[in-house]
Amino acid sequence: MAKNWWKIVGAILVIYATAFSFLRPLEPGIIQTDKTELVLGQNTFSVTGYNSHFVDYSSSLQGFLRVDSLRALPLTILDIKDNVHAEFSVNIPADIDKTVLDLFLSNDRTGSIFLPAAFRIDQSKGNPAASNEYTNVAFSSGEEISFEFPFQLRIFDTIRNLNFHVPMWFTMFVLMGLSLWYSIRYLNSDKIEYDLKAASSAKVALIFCSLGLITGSIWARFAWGDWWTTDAKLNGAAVSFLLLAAYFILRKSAEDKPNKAKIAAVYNILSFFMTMALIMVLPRLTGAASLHPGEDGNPAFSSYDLDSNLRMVFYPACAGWIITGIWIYNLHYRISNLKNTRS
Amino acid sequence: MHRVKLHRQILTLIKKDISLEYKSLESLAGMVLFLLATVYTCFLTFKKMPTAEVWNALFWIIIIFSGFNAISGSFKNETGGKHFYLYFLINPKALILAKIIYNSFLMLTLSIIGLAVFALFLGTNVLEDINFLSFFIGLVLTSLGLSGILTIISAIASQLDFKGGIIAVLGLPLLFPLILISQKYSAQALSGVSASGNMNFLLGLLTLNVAVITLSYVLFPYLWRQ
Repeated sequence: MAKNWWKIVGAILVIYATAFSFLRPLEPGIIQTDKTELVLGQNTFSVTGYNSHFVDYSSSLQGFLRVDSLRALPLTILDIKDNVHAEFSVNIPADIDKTVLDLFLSNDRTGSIFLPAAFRIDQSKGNPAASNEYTNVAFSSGEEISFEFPFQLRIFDTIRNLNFHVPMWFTMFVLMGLSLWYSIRYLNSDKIEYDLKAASSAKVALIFCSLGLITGSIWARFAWGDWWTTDAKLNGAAVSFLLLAAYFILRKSAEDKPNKAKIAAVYNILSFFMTMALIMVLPRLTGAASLHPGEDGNPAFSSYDLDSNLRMVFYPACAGWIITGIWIYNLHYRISNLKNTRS
Repeated sequence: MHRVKLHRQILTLIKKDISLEYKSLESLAGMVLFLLATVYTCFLTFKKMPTAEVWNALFWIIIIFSGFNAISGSFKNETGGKHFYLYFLINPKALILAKIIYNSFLMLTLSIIGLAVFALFLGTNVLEDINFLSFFIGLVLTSLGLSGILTIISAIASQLDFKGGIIAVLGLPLLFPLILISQKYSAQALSGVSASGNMNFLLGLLTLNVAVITLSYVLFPYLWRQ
């Protein structure tokens, strides 16, 4: 028991991260409006919210369209259909000097929630009625909820996938590094146990690579509309998968050769450095745009990559999956070692 | 054992490879014929090149496969008894460097022939703005990198029984970084950008070549000592 404590830690972290990823709700937010263009004068539109409690807190519900940092146009509530659907009307004055407005709603539960650039104003249409008074922009904070995932446009609930997709790649990198380390040690020592260790860790790395590809592909389909996109990180994923798979084909076809382990170790070292060249060096060199967060051209994540609530699950998930990966590698190595000594 | 200086060994080995190639010219002719046949296939399917991007992509794909064709048999003369003979005679580091240098000249020759055949069959309309010096520098560096990777892969494959299919499986993913950079570099050269205006990719190609050749140099002796 005393030497297995790390396995228990790993299992607890994975269970904690998985449970929190699935069970905790998202922060409230606004998904969409039925119109994206407003005309001068009277307009009505309906809003689709997310966890927005329109009915539960209808007495405190109010909203405005933000013109600039000081001025706002107040909304009138026409109808509240359910907790996530409501209809509003707004009066756009003739002297409006902005063409893009943000939508803000608030009640006592959610605080201020907003949809950036919700409406464009078409100033050539409509008949403006009597002049409209601007109000001040005012934000309110809602009830304190102990733990909520951030609400992000475009990805919504799939933000939970962050706690599965990213740890898979981190685990794969750790196992690939382990495999490299044992391949180098094999070449320097000729001990067959190092070859078995390199093969076992590469096999578990291949499994985690496949899991990373599957979770990433599903997420890409939801957020970007395609199963596979042109992206520097996806090139890295593809090359890691192909090289790890080729490593096992090489091992299999060299099975009866006297220096099988040496061939495999040489190829493993070569492929590790080429993967690193593709993942680490090339994107910086070519300045290839990536859809992944932290890079250009991704409005879904770049404003704030990880908030503190997400971090509380994301870091334990990474640590837990890395420990689990090493655990699986350890078991795999012991099995292949037994097979090897028996034959 | 290895008393002769490294560069003398390298020169002797390159001379040996050249004279062997000269003795059996049919293998060189086979490589050129492969190039001709693939380019003609492109001509049959494409007729004229629509854009420079398509031209560039096709050119590099054909060069890669010509490279596989040319370099895969690189160690066919170093097996069995000849392996033991060379093992006691030369430094493996001299052998790998000699093979890489010889193969990169072979690759360069093939890619220049490839360029000529491309111009002959697929028209020169995409080559109007080309900065030839810049394109040529890219060709030289890519030939060096290709031969660096493919030589060590063919050394690996020469120790296996089933050589045909496995060399593409092992080699192609390793070529991804090189092909990505050289394709981007030559796309710039095709639109007339000079080598100094393309320094980013040029340095990338150079770094990659240095890394590949260092890795081959360090790893090959382990393969050689069977």
